[in-house]
Amino acid sequence: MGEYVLRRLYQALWVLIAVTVVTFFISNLLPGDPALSRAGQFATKEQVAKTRKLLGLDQPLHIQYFKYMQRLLSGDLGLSITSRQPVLKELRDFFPATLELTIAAFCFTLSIGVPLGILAGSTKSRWLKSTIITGSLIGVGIPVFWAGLVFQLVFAGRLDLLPLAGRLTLTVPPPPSVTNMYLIDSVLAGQWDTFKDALHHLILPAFTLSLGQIGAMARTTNSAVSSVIHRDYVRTAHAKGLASRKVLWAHVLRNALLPVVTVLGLYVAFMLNGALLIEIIFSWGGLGTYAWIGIFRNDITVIMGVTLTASLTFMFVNLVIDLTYPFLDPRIQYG
Amino acid sequence: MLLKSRKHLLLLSVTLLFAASIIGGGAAVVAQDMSTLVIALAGSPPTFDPLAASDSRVDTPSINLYNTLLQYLPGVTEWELELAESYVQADDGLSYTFTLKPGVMFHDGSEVMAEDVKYTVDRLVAVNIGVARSLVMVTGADVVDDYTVTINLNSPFPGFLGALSRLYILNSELVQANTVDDDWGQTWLQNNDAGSGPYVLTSFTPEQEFTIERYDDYFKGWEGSHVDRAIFVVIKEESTRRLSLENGDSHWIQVGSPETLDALSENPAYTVNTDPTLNQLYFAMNTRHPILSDARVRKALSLVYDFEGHVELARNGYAAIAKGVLPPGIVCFDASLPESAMDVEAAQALMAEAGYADGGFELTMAYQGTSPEETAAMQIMQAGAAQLGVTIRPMAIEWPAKVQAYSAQETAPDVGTVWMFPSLPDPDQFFGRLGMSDQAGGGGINFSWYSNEENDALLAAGKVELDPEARCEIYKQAQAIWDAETPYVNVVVGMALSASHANVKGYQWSPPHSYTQNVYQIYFDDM
Repeated sequence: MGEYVLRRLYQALWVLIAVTVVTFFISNLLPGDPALSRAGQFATKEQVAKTRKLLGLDQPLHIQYFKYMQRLLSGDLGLSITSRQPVLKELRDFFPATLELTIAAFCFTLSIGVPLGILAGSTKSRWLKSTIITGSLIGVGIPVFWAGLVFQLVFAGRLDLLPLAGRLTLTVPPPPSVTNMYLIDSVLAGQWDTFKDALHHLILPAFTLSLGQIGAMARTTNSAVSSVIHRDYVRTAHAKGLASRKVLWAHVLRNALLPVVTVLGLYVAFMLNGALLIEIIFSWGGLGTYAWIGIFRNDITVIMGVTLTASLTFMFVNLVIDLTYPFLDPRIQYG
Repeated sequence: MLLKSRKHLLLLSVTLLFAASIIGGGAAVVAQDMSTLVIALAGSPPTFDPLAASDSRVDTPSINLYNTLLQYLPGVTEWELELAESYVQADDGLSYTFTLKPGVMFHDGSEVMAEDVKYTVDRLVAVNIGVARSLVMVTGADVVDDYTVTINLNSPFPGFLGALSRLYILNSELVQANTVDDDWGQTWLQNNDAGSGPYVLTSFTPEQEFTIERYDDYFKGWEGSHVDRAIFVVIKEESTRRLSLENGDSHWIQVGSPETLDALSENPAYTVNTDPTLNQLYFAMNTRHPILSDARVRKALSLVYDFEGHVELARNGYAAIAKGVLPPGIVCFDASLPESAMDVEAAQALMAEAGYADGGFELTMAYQGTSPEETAAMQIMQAGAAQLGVTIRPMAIEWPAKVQAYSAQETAPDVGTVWMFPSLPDPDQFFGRLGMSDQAGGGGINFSWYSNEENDALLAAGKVELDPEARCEIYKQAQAIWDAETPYVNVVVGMALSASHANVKGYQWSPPHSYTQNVYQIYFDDM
């Protein structure tokens, strides 16, 4: 197992290098001038030229790339071209917000999508199965942008049950920063009112983000359960007189979990990297927003930082998923 | 048993979904606090460094956190002295000596001195970004005594005093103490303030909010009605901003779409504001294009644009048809000029005269695809050009890419939209940027690639002419050349839309500080 992990990490290193090459050169091919973003929209030609020189953007592209990589190897992601702040520091501000949102959305996906899929896959009631499948199709099909606005209108507007946007009520100061995830930080600080407020703000965006994944997860789980529930060993388990619950958990789910866990991992990565629309609607201020700013302002160091973070996260999640396989199916061994 | 577990699963799911929903009510808490004003903005300031205040997102915090030597009065394009008590202009216009008001304190309790003005000017010259665009002629400053400072220019500039309204004076000692790697404090000022303005920056969460609180020792004092605190919350999505106003989460919101404003205007609980800006939309005509190089074709295309349709369809009436190159409010604006108008017959005659009676050619038109107004403008142009047999090929493009496309003749689109947002109400901000031949290509804004020696000479003279009447005469001549040559179509003057709760009073639009919210003048009428 250890050797397998090392091998994967070695592969990841090469993938990351490839990501830096592709992102760096593609970002530089994109239309727009980072020096203009820095100098101001209506800067004179001379001011833009001076700024370009100051930022080192007048040097050949390969020199710029090697300088970037040199800094990267020492853990320095560089300064944002527009804000002049270290990208690493800004990532520490933005990324935890998205991570918190994704974890909450993952909890919704897991706690709603999987049970609904199990129910649909194991029920003998055709209407119940149809209802769940149709519902999950609607969940997958609804554009998150629209769903977010409707949820805001209903839950924040009409019913006044949940906050409209943001991570905390404006009058509530953020908890002392440890992880920058407000739920965890407020618990660590023992600030229960802040915890409650942060949780309150998290529900609507997290549920909106998970909506499509809940539907997709219900469908995946349903087909995984349906594919094993009529197998001989399940019938045998029932014939042996095992309790239905035990049959479901020990025989059906154990064998149906592998594809479910695989797609679950993909969904986590998808949610983590695809939360932009949700972040805009709910003023969340996470990685998606940061990426949007970087692209909009032609801030190459920001784009690089976001891409590397997203790639690392994606690879980490997939590695974790792969490592769970042997536990779910003992026939799988990593040598 | 299986049935029971299913019920449990279903119950668990539903419980998890709604449990937290009933933890408490919504969030309309802040809006009930009448000493705190909540303003919902569409965008976050990229920095708090006031040198970048040429961008209205930065100008908003700057005008609340800092002071300038002089400042424009709300609602008009006239200014009054602020930190300066008096000033003397040198006869040659190459230096201005300011005497500062004594006893004005920065937020850290130190006094605003001549040395601070000098440092701010030196920093402007050295860093040379943002606000420096309007003050390129400034070479430095000399301290005469503790309260007297002279700012030097390398050429006279009649708009100089107006341009100082965005030169926010920094606490030099504080900034120098926080300078790293000779960066003139740029990194530190990113999220800190070093000002003497009515409010102090107390919190900032990037892309989410920033809060300012009243500075008790503000030199203008706190007589009258003011708010103690303002929270600027960033809500990019327009419908969410509107809902935040209706919900009571915000008191004042920026409005982007006329439809939102119309909807809010029907409710007496809200006040809607339609403020004329100094921002004007133009269509740049590529004068290097083989066909558009003929001024008659350019003029013809300008005559088939439905300007009234633009105002009604694209802006629901919230815009004004342009009258010449300069919008109202700009020095030397000539109110006697006619509005841009449609005249298809005249256009057809011009096309026939130019040898294109049936059109028969295509032109690309660059516009900002994410802007509903510009998209509508492109469609109106398409319809108009079709009447001349000219096909307009749309080219949706965002600003940075547009500047790059216009940087080289080979890639410059044939027709393109360009909004001008002046930092001060000076004609050079329009004529100089759009029409000087040295501003064509290489990142300049002369998108029409217009080059005319007579025009260049006039604009160069107008930029430095200190006599107001002589100056306006120069721009009148330039206007006549532009009318005949039509390097640009003068389309519409924009309006800024916003809405607030009806009890929010004192808000006044400042044309030279477009889209900037000056909190000091705002209050609640039932405080």
